[in-house]
Amino acid sequence: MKIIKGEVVFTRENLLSFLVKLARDLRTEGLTIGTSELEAATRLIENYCALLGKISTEEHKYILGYNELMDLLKASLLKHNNFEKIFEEIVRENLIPYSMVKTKVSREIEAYLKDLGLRFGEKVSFAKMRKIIRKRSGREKVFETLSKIGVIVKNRNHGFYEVLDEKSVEKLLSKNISLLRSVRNIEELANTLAYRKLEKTSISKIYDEKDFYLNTIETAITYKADLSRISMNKLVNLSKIAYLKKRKSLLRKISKIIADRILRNSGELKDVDEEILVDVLEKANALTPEIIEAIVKGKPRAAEKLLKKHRKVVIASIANIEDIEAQKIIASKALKLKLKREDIEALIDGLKPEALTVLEKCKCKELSRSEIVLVKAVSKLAKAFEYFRKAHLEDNKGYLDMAYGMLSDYNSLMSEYARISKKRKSNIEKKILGKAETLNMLITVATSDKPVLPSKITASPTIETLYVLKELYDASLNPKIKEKILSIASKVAQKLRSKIRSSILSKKYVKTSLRSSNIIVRDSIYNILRRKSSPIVYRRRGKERKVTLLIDISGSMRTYAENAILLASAFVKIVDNVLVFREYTVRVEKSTIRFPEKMVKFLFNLKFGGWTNISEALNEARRLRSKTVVLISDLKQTVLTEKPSEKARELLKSGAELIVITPPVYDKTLAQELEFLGAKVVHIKEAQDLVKVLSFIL
Amino acid sequence: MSDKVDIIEKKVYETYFPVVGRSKPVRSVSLMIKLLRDKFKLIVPERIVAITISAFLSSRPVLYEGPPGTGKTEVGYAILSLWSGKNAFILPCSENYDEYRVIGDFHPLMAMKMGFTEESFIPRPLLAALILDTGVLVDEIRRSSEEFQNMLLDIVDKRRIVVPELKRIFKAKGDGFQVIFTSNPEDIAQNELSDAFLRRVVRVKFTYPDEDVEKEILKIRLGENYWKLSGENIAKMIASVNELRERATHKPGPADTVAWAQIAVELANLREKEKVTAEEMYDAGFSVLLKRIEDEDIVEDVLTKYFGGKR
Ligand SMILES: Nc1ncnc2c1ncn2[C@@H]1O[C@H](COP(=O)(O)OP(=O)(O)OP(=O)(O)O)[C@@H](O)[C@H]1O
Ligand SMILES: [Mg+2]
Repeated sequence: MKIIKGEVVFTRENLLSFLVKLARDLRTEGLTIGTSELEAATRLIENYCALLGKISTEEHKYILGYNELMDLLKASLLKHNNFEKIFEEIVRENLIPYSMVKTKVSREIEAYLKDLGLRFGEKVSFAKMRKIIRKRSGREKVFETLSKIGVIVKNRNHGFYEVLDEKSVEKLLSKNISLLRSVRNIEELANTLAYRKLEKTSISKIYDEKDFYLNTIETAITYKADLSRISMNKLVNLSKIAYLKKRKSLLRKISKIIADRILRNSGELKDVDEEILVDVLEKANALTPEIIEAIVKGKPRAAEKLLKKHRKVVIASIANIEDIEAQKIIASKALKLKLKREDIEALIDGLKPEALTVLEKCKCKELSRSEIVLVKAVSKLAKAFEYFRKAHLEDNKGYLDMAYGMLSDYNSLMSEYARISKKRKSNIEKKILGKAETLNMLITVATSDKPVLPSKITASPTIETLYVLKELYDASLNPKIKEKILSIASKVAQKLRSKIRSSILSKKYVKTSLRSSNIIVRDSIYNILRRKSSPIVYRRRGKERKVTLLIDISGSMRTYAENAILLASAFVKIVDNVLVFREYTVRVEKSTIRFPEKMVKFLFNLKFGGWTNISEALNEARRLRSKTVVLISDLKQTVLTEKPSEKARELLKSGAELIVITPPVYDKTLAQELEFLGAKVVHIKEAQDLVKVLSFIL
Repeated sequence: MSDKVDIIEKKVYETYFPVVGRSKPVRSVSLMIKLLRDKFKLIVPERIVAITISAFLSSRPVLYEGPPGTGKTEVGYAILSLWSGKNAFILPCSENYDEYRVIGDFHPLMAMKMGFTEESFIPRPLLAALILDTGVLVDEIRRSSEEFQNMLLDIVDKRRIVVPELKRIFKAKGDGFQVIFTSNPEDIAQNELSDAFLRRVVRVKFTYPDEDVEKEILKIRLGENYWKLSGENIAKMIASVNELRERATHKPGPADTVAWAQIAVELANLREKEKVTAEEMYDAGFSVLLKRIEDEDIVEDVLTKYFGGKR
């Protein structure tokens, strides 16, 4: 195969040996092509040339445009569109040798240099370069392209630009040879190389070449490049530089990307300097309440800076944070400020009982005397609980003494409170007393040897009964008591299960769908003629359902998840698989679902919260090849990987049916995407509705 | 076979021949392109015509793939008809399509009386196409079951149809019997095509046309009415659909562009206007382009950008 001025010229033999070699190369990439396909391709190409008169008669040579040949090869040999890129590349490699591509690019580089009036290996001072660029419009672009490729290198220390010599350019191109093939022109080559550099470079280097990297990221954003490999820290610093360089629209663009990423996964903020982060987002006007909440979640220390201007929002977000340590950090920063009564009330309201230890530091200027005493008291109580826990976890008796010390402090403060408090309690007092009660219960369970169980628990249990049992299970430290609670809980679970089962069965009705249009006439007549007992044959659709339940166990999904697992256990026969997922996905064993003891133990030890990776869960579900997949989730993907919608697309493509059940608060965008892809999305108001929805599905 | 009249062929001729018609088979690419334009009002790139005919020349089935409204169905039908000189058959696939519906079935009462005989047999389009030596367009192949696809491929491969109950084999009589499948690979609610299937077909990709071609399509489809649209409006219209192809969930095909122009013209007629104004473009655009509720903002945005200035 020869290429003459963009046209491929070949004889029949050329074509055959080209195709054979191509098939061999494609096979190494996993694209198998049989002989019959090669024959068919040959015939197609020959027919095509004959049809359009693309034959030079005297030599029996075919002449085809490069793109024409590519189209024909794709039409006859390419089976799956996702291999299109590789296919094209391999064809290209077989048609055009590397050396040709390289020569073409180095010619273009030469032309660009000539445009600037520069030679290979030349050194030019900063000032002179500035002059060169200004001389004519359009030169700046040329200069930028060459710098991006790395042909012009800035030498900061000595104050000049250096043009690489010819050999080094050659080396540079050889190093990126596969890239040379895939880009359309040298602008694209330049942008890709610059972007790769940005991915790899350190932050201090970015500060050395500010404009270069700002331009790079700007181009990348414009062309919608995949920015996921650029670290959050780098993005934050880039937006700071954009601000310093007064590039406002770029600042806004980067901040938007940062904000989107934080919303999806605030965990990314771990290594980020919170000062700069808050600064740039503030400058870009990107600090919405959601973002603020996400920031303090991922980086509690950022609360200090955020509290200055966004006090209400920060305090309100505490309630939505699962992690106790994070709650404490944010609260302690807030307590350093002069808080108004309403702020204190909101703060106490949002904190979990165990986190109330921070109230120790409350300045409380705004509070009444009795409130102050109460605040102190509850902080001691929380501290006592913390020590009990530590004593147990670290098996250290020393903590026990400290815990009892705290308890006696608490008792004396409480008796003081009883003396001075008024009959009418303030809201703050009510809130604190409520939390103190919980703490007291937790401590009682944690320290007692006998289970303290609410009476009548097993008479007519609801799912709430299980919740109470779980709280108790968590709080109790004595293994024997834990056992005991488990055994009670498994009885409760058993009762719940049969309750669910009977309620669902009563709802089921038998559907008949035998319509005459579904009769297969020919087979039926066969049977009639042969006098079979039930001769009519209906068209059948594979009706046997194999259901996989995919249950989201992120914090917000707790009640739904627990209900769903219970429900699954009521229907072991139909439910094939139960998968629970957070940032990773776990397959629940069948025996766990089947035996109440195991199930309860599983439920009680299930940790809710953390990040959510729906993509992986969907992927797992696809691997299990169920006919029906039921996803119970609020659809908030927080781990940054492949898009969940992509995975859903694959799942649906594999022929499965996807049913999504969401609680009232869910990610609308993803829900719509899923619906568009063909999933059935059902929204429910409360966990109890799951029974109804699932009974229709199962 | 003896030379007395074949009952089944007779039936096929009686039932189907009137709809098939007859003209001279076309074998040249340039003539086909011209006829596609003149007779079928279709603007088809040479690539598509030439690859399709090249495949037909060695009786290979062709698969047309591309987004909705890019003309797959109409182009396929037209090329098949021109190729064989007789109108092609269209089989619109659905999930429970099976051999009985495309090859033939037995009349239940007659079969009860006489068993599976040629008298009780009812020929269906695929068999008719083979007997009449004309083309078959299998539309939206991915809606059918894999069994059905394999059955079709077997028939296309061997160019014959077996009806075991009649102990008969029908063979293709000439090269008029060709098959084109259509499929929209982006529609994921449908089944995947099997490797075995893909190995046997020649794949032809349909894409959105270039601006100039889309203008041509409008011109040819609208006829006289084309001149009621100003050059400016046509340019804006094409810019809008191209923008929506980038941004919207429902991506308008040339079919939508044509429908948009037609409705705009009718609106102008109703409002007794000599020429279509931005107002009609806007109103018609909304009714044609908005197919999915999540696109509402984008469609509004695009239409306002190009046609909203004067309201
Ligand atoms: N190349 C073309 N020339 C002329 N008209 C075209 C062309 N492409 C599309 N159209 C317009 O689109 C309409 C038909 O599109 P058709 O239904 O064949 O598309 P399709 O690709 O089969 O779509 P779908 O995937 O929805 O079935 C035609 O009636 C015509 O208005
Ligand atoms: Mg169609």
